[in-house]
Amino acid sequence: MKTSYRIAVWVLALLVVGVTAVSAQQHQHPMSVGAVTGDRVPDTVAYRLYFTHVSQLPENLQIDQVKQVGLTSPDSAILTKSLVEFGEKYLALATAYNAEATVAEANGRLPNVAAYHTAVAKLVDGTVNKLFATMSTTGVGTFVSRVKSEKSNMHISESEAGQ
Amino acid sequence: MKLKILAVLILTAWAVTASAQFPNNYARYITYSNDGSGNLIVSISVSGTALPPLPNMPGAYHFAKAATIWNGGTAQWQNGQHVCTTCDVNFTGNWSFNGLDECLTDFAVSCNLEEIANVTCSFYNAFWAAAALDGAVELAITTTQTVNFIPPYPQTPYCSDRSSPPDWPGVGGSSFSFTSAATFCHRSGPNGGTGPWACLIVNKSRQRSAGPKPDCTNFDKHIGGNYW
Repeated sequence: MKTSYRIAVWVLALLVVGVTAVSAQQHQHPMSVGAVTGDRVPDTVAYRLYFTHVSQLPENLQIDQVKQVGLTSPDSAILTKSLVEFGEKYLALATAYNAEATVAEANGRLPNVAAYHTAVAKLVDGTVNKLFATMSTTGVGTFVSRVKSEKSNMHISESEAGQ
Repeated sequence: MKLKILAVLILTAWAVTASAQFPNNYARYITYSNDGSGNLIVSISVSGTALPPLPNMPGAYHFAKAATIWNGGTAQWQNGQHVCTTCDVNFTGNWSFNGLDECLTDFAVSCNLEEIANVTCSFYNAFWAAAALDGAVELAITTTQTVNFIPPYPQTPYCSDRSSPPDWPGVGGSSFSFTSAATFCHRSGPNGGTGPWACLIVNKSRQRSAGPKPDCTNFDKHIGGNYW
């Protein structure tokens, strides 16, 4: 009986030490750096960042960003419409995912982040495909060049660059 | 004894798993805009998710932070929303630079801009940071002139030796005129940038109707007065 009691105390003590160690370690975030830029940013990631960022700018800045692409008026109107639609859908996805993640964390579970990334990637692909189908051929070329040149203002993590 | 060894092994495995680096897809993107009132607006976004191991620390949250530093001054920080540690941080901040006159009136002042962005944990500190933007930003005053009388009135550089960024080539124009404007130029790449300059007219744009070409002599020596 005495031996069993001692074992139980040992296990309990180790459990307490272990939990404390894990809690501390999981918040000793290893520092990571978003150092990948330029041509090493994959096209799919560049489109995601472009749409996410520009769609959330105040209207006057969004107008200027669209103007900087150098499109004709009809193509500019198509891009502006796509940005508005993308912004609404992206915010809805992000809000829903964050709500799911908050509940999951509170219950000691991990959210389905892969499903969220897939949904965002699908939204980006759909937006790009729709743009390419509706813009003029010259407009598509101009827009693609713009996003590629913007890669120099984007920084992503090595892990995403390797995808 | 066997029970103790088993417990130690389980806890060790748990701790090792927990200390692995968290997968994340954080990213930073910076754009430069003219707000329509002649002000330069720098917009920085930080977005992405991380997947820390469970169990999470109760009360922990993540948030994005970004700052701009103009001419080595104080960092102007803006913070994103506090969200759960596995949430999407999704933050965009805008900084307006309407005080660029300092650089336009005193060319001894070195004008430069530094941008910082990171993701911070409430229980730790910044654990993800974007690398410094490798490149250069400069302010320049440029003058452009129209070259013919046929729409869309393309403009070409006129006074060319003001500063190292090339004079902004201009985009069209509603009349044949000379335009003098402050431009904000930036380019990326190592050692002060190797890529092409990208410029925006940001302030003090003035136009003049067709007439004699402006005299650039005083303009280029930065002597005050009317150089039209």
